[in-house]
Amino acid sequence: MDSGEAIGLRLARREEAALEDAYAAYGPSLLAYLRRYVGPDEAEDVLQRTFLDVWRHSSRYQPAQRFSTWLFTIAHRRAVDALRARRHRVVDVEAARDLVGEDGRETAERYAEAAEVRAALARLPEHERQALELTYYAGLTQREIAAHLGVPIGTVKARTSRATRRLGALVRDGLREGGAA
Amino acid sequence: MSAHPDLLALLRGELSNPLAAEAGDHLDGCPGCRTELAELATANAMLSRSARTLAARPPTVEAVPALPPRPPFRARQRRALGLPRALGSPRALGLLAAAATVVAIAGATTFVTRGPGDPGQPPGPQPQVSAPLDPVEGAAGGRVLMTTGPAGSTEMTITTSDLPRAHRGEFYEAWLLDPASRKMLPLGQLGPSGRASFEIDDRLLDRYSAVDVSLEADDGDPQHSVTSVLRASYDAQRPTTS
Repeated sequence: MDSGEAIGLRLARREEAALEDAYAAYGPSLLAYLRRYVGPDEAEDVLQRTFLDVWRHSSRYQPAQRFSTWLFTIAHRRAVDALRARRHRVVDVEAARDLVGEDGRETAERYAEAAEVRAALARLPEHERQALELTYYAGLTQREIAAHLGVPIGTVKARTSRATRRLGALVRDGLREGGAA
Repeated sequence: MSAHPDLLALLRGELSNPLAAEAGDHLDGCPGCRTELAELATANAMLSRSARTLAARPPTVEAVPALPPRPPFRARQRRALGLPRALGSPRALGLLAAAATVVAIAGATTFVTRGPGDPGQPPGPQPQVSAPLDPVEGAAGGRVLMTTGPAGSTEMTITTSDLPRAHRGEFYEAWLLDPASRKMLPLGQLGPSGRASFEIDDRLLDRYSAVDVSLEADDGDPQHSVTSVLRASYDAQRPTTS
């Protein structure tokens, strides 16, 4: 799979397959972000609206901007719209305060960075991606992963170590290419 | 020089203290391992932060101001009884709660007609608990009164004041809440006058420590709307059952 910026450039050229790639690479992270603000029930709807906007405005994507940042900026706006549309006189002010203003932008950026790492994982060979997902996202120890996969612990150590170095290089390369600021 | 240590296990905190110390000694004299450690540490930091961010729980009920912490002895008692700390997602909790039939909604006048000042009736039960309902947002208020009910139950009466009138298609709902585990159990709707009474199994009541009043949309969704308007903590006042 391409890097985020490469997906963004393909989207700007109106390649429909790029939209699918963006959904596969960033959809789960965007959903986690949206659940935080609009709740699990509405998050799926807001995610669809986000990708609709991504497709509509794909020509505006500038490769100098990180693709994940661009995506999460759109998601952030759709989340704000969703909260405003609720029209309750009594609103959850803490959640609203967390979403709008400086805190909200920082949170969106933090999720964008997390999504960038998650998307880079998808570019690793399957057995390396699996080793890192079990280590970091499932919180298993190397010994537990060896038992889970039924492979020697030495194999797990080698895979995880190789995958970690490779992932670090992918993310660092992406930051250099995609306007790290 | 000793064998090269498992640097990723070192970074992940999987080594015992003696092995971590041994790895530190090895790193002092091994430039190759130091270079590799720097490379691994960068990716480890990125992955750890990503996993921590994406695994963060959505702020649902904890998005509103926290209630005072429960007294420690209650937590110990909870563990001793083997009670669960959390049950899962709010939707699952809502469905679970909807399936439970242990909470019966009594008529809104249940407590009043059995009150101590009612002429011609024997003296009624005195409130065991009287806790103020404080506003989470807005200027409304109220009170939760609990009295001993029949056969291991408690009569709970919720009285509110100054709640904004619910719009068409909306209503106020009362919940039991355990702030520590975010566990919630729906009790039922407040009436148009902002009052409601419930008969609740004492063992169930022991598993929570607060009452929450929320504004809900009549959309068939049993889940808490996240729009809490009032909260009361009863845990510190109430004698426990076992």
